[in-house]
Amino acid sequence: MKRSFALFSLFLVLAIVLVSCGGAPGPQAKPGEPYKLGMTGVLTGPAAVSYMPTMEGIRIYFEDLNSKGGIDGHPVQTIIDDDRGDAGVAASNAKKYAEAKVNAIIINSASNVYGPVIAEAKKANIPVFTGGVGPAEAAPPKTDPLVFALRQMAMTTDSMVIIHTISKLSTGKPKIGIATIDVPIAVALADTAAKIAEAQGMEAIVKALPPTATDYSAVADEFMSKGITAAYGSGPASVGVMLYESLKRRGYQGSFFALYEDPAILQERKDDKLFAISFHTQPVQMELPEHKAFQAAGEKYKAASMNGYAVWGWAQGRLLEAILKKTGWPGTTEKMVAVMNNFEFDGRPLQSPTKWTANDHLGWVYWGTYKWDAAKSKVVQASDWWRVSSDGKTVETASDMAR
Amino acid sequence: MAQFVAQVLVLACFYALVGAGFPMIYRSSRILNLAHGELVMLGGYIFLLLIPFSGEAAWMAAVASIVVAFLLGLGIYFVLMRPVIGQPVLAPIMLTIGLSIMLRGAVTLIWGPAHRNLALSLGIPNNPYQLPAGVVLSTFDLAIIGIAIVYVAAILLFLRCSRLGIQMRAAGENALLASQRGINIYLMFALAWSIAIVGATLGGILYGANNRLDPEIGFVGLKALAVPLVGGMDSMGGIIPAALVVAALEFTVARYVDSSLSDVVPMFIMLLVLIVRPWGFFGTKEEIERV
Repeated sequence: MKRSFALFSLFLVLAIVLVSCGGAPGPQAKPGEPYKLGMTGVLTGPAAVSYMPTMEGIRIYFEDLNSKGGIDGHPVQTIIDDDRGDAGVAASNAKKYAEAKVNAIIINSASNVYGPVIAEAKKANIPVFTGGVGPAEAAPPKTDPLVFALRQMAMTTDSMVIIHTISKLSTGKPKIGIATIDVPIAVALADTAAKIAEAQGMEAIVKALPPTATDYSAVADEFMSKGITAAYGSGPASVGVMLYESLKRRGYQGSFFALYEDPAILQERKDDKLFAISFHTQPVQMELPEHKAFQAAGEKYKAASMNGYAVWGWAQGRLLEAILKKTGWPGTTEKMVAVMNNFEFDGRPLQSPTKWTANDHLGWVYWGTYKWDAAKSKVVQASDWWRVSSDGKTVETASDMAR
Repeated sequence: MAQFVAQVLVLACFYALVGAGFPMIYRSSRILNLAHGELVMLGGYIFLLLIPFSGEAAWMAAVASIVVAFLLGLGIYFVLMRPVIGQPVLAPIMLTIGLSIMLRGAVTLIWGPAHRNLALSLGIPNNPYQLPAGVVLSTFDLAIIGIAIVYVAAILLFLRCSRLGIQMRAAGENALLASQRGINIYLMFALAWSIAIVGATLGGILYGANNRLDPEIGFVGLKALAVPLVGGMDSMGGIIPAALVVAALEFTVARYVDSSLSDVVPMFIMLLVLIVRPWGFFGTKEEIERV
């Protein structure tokens, strides 16, 4: 009995010590009080492949910035926590950030966490930036004063993006196969895309599979038998990967569009019918000067991932720096919101321009399409950049992101 | 029709390859290994780790992976499972659940969450081949069929015809009697774990080459659990017909009914079998205590 009690006490003490050491407090504060950013996101779990690299990109950006003196002598402290896509955990993280009196909360997580996190942020009057799916609160007509979208992926804009890309890069009217997972938001996204395609005279077939589908051969078989000429996976990156492999095993010769995967797959697969869409940022394969800074920081600060999502995280960091710099010290919510309600940031050529107003905290959604060029043996831009308005109604060539 | 049969065969062979590990362990040590899916995943990553050391010879990485898997099985049994022998049945099951969580976390920490493709890592293209009757199968589709047949046949022959296999069966049927007859039952149980994990590793390598490899693919192992539950948890021979039934149902529903139901029907069949014939179609009828 005494031994059991002693063992239990030891475990309890260890647990308390481990919990106290939890979280990733980010870089040490330099002289000058720090700006504080609380970031909750998916660092582990099935969705980590999409969000963890983005969070790493933001982390290394601010580590690098702090090594150069921060913003006017004030470092930026990033408080990073894993919510695993769990709304309850994310809400707890948000409470912690409110207690720490952060300047802003960043969400790089699944959309189901938005509601609870935004609720906590509003209680504490802290602005929220969403790095994943752009919430309805960031776009007109009911723009929330405290919610800003760093990245689009809103229902209508993503569907417009993919259908516009497919129609522009296909010969004639393509027949489109769309695979998705059987969760409401993913199915809704795929169905919206199918409706947009049909409105433009294209046929689209949507097939939903359980998230635990062992392979997509049945769907690939159906798509092949119906003669599809363009295909993509709607939902987590794994959907696109699984559909692509299943189609290729069946000898598919049509086009495939990687909507949410890292453009690095173009180098891996070397398939000239494979196109990768990159939102807002030029992929690292374009070898821009800013990419070199990104890669150097990644090596120095040991980024766990340096893929296309991490480039986007780096770009988010640049945007956030510009906001904090313009806001000035001490970065109160009122000053920050005033800045962001009339905010323009030109991050070209690495990233598309950002323009926010009081009524639109999302702005235009930009994207570029890339492919493998066998003759040049490198990844190249497949077309002009395009952009779609935050309401999803207007699509046009983004002349401000010219090749 | 021929393409349908071919694709069902590929899926059935994969399920048989992975699913065979469950009765292998259950027959011997009466443990339901809920970490089997993560061991499939780990097998793929072990192979990924060994590829750079094999140079041009992919087969060397595969052989090395099998050796590592075999040793891992011995290690898991003697370090984790042997101490819980004699404990309530929940203890080893909880241990395997803990092991699965630990493996997934460790793999994520070491390799990250990104998807990989082992065919690309090997430099072996997964090309489609036109076969008779208009069937199209890829390099690794054919590999799955071939390797699964060899693996399951080898296990059946081993258990039926080899001295060690007969001893293993004896230890599984009556450990006390087998022990009294001079059989080292702990070694037999450990060997069962090793053989099961070799199968899991082969499954992980083939799935990683034919589909994808990432820390979340452990679910394929749990899906394969339906196969021995339908065939009988103590019947290695029952694996083959059960795998064909489960794969045929899954593919048929996904292809011709509703793709979102592809998981539901095999699980439904499994539940039906558990209610009506809980020892499976080919398993040994056991006393079931009903409350």
